[in-house]
Amino acid sequence: MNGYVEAGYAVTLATLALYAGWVGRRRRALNRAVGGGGADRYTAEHR
Amino acid sequence: MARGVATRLSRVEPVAVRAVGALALASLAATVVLGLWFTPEDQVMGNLVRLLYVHPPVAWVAYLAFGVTAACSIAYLWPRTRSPFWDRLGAASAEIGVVFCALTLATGSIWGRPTWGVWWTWDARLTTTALLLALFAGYLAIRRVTVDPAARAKRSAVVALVAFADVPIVHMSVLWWRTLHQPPTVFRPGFGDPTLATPMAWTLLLAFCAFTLAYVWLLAHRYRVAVLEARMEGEGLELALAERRAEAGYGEGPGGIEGGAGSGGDGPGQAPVPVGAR
Repeated sequence: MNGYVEAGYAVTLATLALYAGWVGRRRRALNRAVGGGGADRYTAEHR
Repeated sequence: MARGVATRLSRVEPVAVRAVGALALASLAATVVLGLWFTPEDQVMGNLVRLLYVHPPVAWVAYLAFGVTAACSIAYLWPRTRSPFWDRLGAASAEIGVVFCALTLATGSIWGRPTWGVWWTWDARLTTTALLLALFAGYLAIRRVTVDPAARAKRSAVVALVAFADVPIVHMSVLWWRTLHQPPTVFRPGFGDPTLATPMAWTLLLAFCAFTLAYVWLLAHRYRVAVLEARMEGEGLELALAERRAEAGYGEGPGGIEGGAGSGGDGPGQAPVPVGAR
């Protein structure tokens, strides 16, 4: 096909995956820090 | 009002968030498959036209995210609707907007190299988009340097509104100035006659929906992180206050420096207790 096209798709999807992963890791770390004990404290408190 | 919005949002979680995430993933996968293998080539650009299903939707989400930040900033600055909810939601949206704005520049650069022969040029569209990225990166930086939550929320809301003024300039830049960048394909003034073949138009519509769903999913998760960060910040402040009280002699009993009756502190003989623990 064309290396530029694949590069465009790869950069976009990889960046979104990395960002989503970072948000998830940060959320888990904060949950542990505020005493969630690994459970999702935000979700538990807002049910 | 903001509390009501937050409560309603929290009731539909986490099922709705998971559903949005699944839909985003499925529609992104469909966009990739259709965009790379099933849509036709362009007569002029050939296969490079396939970047159409990534670059404009990503730019749209950057506009949308910054628009949400601006709307949240107005809601925060308006005294009747002022709430930390709007501040946190606006900040979460701005961070996602910065990611998508950077992606807009990256994918545009990848498209520009084979089309224009250069990775970057000081074209009006490119320059104003880079300025937009810098402005909202500044917004995120301001949020990090201000300690007081109320002052931070107010200052960053003003900065967000100033930064958002660049969005219409970015969009109209290809019409206001002579640029290398092509004029709008879909969101043109009057919305008339998009110059796209039908399979391309449907795939582009799917791509817009897919990236918008991905934004909504990311926003829900990033907002949760903002709430947890605020709680950590509050607990850290309470801990620091308790330590300062202990250093100043609160809680040493009647013989303490300021712990006697009528001191107005934590009362005689009471150990410093964080506010949240009461």
